[in-house]
Amino acid sequence: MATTVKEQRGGEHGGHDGDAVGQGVFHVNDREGRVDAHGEDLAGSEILRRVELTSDRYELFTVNGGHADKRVEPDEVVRVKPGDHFRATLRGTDYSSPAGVGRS
Amino acid sequence: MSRKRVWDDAAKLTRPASTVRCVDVGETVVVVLEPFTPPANDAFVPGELAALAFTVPVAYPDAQPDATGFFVRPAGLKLADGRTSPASTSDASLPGIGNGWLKFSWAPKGAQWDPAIDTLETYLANIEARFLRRN
Repeated sequence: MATTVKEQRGGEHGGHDGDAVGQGVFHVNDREGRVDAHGEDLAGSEILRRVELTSDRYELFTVNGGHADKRVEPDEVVRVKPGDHFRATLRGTDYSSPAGVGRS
Repeated sequence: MSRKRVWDDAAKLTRPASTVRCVDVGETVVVVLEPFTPPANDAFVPGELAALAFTVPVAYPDAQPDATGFFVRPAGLKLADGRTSPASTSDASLPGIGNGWLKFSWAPKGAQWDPAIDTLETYLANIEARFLRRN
């Protein structure tokens, strides 16, 4: 886990003394985003935006026990903390398609 | 855009208890995760797959991994009722690897693969999302 957290000690809210002070890293797939060290409530679309992805192309999922878990809608707000992982999938995959069914 | 890029990106795929190996097969690399515990694994019998595999062309990332689907073992994977095969699956052989696979078929529609952004992580995330459908 490439989690880096620089806690600001002694401040009530922190985050005003430097670019990375009071922030940590979360991941969406293999992409890194930054979030306040104490965590932030973010909409799914904002989580994607922070790793330079967009909700019109990707669907977002929480990760539990190392595996994709629950879908996060673009307007659904979840708590994001440093060290958190999410998965992003290409939107629009047709999992029920009969295309390709058969022997390879 | 090389076989090495596939191997390098495959090595970064981390899933609990899975080891990753790559097999060069012609102009493709077959990426195999062994074993693989799918999400929503209570919806499937057995709940842990002996293997999950997918094919990646050596032109990756310009070319996307197999857009027709992915493979799992055991080929006798069933839904939780123990009788029904998962939807859109069929017995299959995996060229260069062998027989005895179950292929999950799909079709990408909507967002297209972007070689500047998407990686094997994106593809594996899509595989995980397939299992979350529980069917």
